[in-house]
Amino acid sequence: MDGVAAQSLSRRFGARVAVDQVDLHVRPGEILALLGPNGAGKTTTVRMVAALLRPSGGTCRVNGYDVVAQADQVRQITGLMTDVPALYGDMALRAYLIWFAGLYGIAETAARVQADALIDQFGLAAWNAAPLATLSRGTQQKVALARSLLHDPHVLLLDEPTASLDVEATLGLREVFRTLKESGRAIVLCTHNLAEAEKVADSVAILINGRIAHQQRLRADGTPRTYRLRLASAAPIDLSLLQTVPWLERGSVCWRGPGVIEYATRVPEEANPRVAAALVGHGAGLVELAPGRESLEEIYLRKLQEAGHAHHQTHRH
Amino acid sequence: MRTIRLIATRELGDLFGSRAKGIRMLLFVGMLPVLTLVILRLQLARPDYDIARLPTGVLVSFMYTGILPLNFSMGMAALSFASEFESGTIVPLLAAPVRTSAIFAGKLVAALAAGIGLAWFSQGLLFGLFSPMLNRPWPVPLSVTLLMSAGVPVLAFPLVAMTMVLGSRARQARTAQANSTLAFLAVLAVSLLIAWRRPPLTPPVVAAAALGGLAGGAVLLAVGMRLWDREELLSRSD
Repeated sequence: MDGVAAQSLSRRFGARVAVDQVDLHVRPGEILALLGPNGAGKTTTVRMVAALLRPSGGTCRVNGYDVVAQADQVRQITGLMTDVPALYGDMALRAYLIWFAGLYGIAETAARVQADALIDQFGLAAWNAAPLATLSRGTQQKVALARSLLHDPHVLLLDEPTASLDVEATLGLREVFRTLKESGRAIVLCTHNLAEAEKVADSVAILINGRIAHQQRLRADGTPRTYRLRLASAAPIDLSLLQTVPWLERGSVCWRGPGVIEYATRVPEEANPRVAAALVGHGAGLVELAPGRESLEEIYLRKLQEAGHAHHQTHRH
Repeated sequence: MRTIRLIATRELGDLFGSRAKGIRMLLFVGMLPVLTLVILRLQLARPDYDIARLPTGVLVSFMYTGILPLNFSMGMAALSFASEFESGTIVPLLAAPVRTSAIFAGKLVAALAAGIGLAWFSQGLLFGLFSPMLNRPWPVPLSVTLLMSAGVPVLAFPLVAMTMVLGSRARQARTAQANSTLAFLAVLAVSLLIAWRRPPLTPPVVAAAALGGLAGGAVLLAVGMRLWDREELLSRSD
């Protein structure tokens, strides 16, 4: 399988279990957000996928290459971006990228072409000759991302890439992530920023104490989405009046508590106004119409609570 | 080989990155032979100076102008890994498809090249400026002079290899420097042994010492490389 396929991936450091029986699947053109508080095992997981750490148990394949037996091949097709830019501050930007491309076996001429292309892509041309230490943190992170793309990797592993960046730089990088996804790369994005995960990822996995506590798809296009309607009165009304509304999933309309109706639809932009209009037309007061499932934030907080973690480790931008 | 060259050029670029840095380094190293010659000139001006002692004095000076610049090598070797651990730059390096032995070899080559280059520059300056500054011919036979210069790499190899092994075991630059002082203790021990036993500098003794140095360096290198597993290096960066 192309992309990342990890099964029962585990890693111990002495007696401590850092990652425990983790299953991950990321296809080309998809972003998986790996969420979790500090110390949850996100970085360890990513490092195992990048063939930097050997798993204590389980298997992981990147584009079919085993991260243990074919580690060099995995490194050759994987790009890793860390939370700190980790650049040689005394080197000039272009020279650094050309130099780093050499480590991937890219010939000097091709390395120049590739470095220039990435410099253009990320709008870094103004700093071509500048020592890397003089660049802003956001620009340094862009350089780090460019570095991870020098060898045109099939899989990108982004470990807290927007940590400690300002809002503008963060938004800029998110756009880049989307572009990279559209170019067909499988991307694993480690973050504890839920808003970031919701905005760019196709699926999320919440990692707590080394285990996957929750996994869900965020952009399941074509699958029905659930919505909940809260009415002003708990007095029952005849739900058959909603059967005339097109685009509702057959049999999905039901009561979810006093005054709360739930239904599913594949086209909410068409169905939701009609459901509301039908109810209001029959004299029902409408208080709220919201996605029926728990939000990612609610799930995350609940999972943390279940695991006994403090809430303040979560933040939204 | 390409990885070794890339790592080595990057390390050397760090040391001699800018023209100002390079000139400062050469001036610093150049001060040693110039000061030595100034002192010798003052000695020679003394009426009671025994001219028969000059060749020995020059030989000792020539030896030390070759040894002291190796401090740069040792400094580079001690800090080359620790600075990567501290800044986190080791992580993207390890994520690339390069062998850790190539990373090590590149750093070693750079440290050796810097130290040996500076040592030969310093020795060359002493040799070149001797006649113009003291108005007399070089008093040491050329064969002995060349032997002394050739001894620089032989001395540098085990010394730098040892410093790099010790330095790389530390997470922080400060600890790496402290660890590397142990290498100086080894040099001190060898110096004391030589001073005590006073071995004659016959070809077999010199050859044995050279082979011993190279073998010692190679053993250190092999031991060090066995210690440097990718995970081991990575763990020091956390």
